[in-house]
Amino acid sequence: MTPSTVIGRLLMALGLSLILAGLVGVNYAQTSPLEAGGSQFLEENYSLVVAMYSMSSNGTAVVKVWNASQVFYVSDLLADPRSLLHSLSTFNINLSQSSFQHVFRLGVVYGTAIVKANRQIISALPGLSTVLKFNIRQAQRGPDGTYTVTLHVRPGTAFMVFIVGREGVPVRYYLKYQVVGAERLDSTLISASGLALVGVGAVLYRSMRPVTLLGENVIRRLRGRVGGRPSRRG
Amino acid sequence: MGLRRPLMLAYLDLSDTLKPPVFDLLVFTLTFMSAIVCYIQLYSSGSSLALNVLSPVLVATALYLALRSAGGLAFLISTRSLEVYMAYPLSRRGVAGALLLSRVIGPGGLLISLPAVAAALIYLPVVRADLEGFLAVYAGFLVQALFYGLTFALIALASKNSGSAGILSLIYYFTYNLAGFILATISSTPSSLTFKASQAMSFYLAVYQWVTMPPGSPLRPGLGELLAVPLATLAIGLLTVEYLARWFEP
Repeated sequence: MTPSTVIGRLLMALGLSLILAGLVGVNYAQTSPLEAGGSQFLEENYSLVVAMYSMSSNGTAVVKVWNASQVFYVSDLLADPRSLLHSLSTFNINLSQSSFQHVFRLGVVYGTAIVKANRQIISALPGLSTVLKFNIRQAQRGPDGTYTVTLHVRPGTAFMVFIVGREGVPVRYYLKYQVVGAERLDSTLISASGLALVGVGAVLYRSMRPVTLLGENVIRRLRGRVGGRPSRRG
Repeated sequence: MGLRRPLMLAYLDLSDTLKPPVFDLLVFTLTFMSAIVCYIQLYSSGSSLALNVLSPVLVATALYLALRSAGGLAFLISTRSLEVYMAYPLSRRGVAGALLLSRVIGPGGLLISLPAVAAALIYLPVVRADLEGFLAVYAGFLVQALFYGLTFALIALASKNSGSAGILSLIYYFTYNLAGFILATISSTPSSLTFKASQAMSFYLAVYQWVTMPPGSPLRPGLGELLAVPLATLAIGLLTVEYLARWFEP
């Protein structure tokens, strides 16, 4: 083992993995935004919560809500909303059911929950901002009767949108999350750089080992010719 | 005595630690998997890229250091090869330093660094924009890997048996991580002592939270949590060298 054979081996391993990863990236690289939605019929004293927690990506989330009477939102939470929803029981906001999904490709956890709480408590959430140490805001209703909330998410932060429904009408929501600033090098460029690394690694590796061609040591033979040493064959 | 002789011994011993094809296969697998993770998940900051790519790599590195490096070190003792090393015109501290370099620092550093290089190449624009964050979290993983590796080396020197050294190192590794997990789980608030202890046990996580959390955030670690693992690594490294130099009997 010489330093150049070790470096050669490691460069070949790195290059080969980049070639293969580049090939995978051409077909399976993730770029598309996350889109989710649904409708929920809410009984009296129940509210819907749409929440998202980012583990690795910066992005912009847009939440659109139809048929709601009031919408409140809180952003820049430094905790997982799944555990926060449980801790809201202190304020008589009890978690009834929840469904969260981990979207590994985008590095986020998102989902919905139904909380049982008096509508007056939900309506009073902005007033509890100082107690909860969250900045809870009320969303403004648009001219078409919908509520649109745009929120920025960064790794380690979360947002929650509290939706109070109208009696007799199911609440509809739509969530779109677009990752921003996640820019990769082109997959072809990665494969090409991997190929170059394999080439350099192979040269380094072979340069310190006897190169044989049809059983004959080529390097020794070449050295014999260049250095003027007499060849065995004359 | 200069550094030349210990480095020559480290170089000699490194040929055993980096023996192909096991090390090459592991490097390839870890680098390939890290590169794949880069494609199937989107990252917009260098720190989160390093955290997500290197977390599984650290587990594999720790297992390699426990089984191959610590086990190999104990094998040197059981086959009396270490006595041959100690017969070289070198001080015992020189031999200890050379062995730590070839058994822990060299392979551990390479196993953590190559996947990081692959990830940095793929996400070059993101890493360029957040180079400090990427390098800080990468350094966090490097120190954590050295912490595990040096502890395993100390276990190997104490047990003197390759099988026992590997198993004891694995028990230590899983107990340490399980204890960190339990401490984090039972923590009621980020300001609780148990949460701070769990944060202090994972240097890379503490560095990540220090880089990403704004000042004043309860999740941002203090100086004590940040320095616990690096200081422990330094102490265990010195203890290993001193143990081999003063008290070790082959």
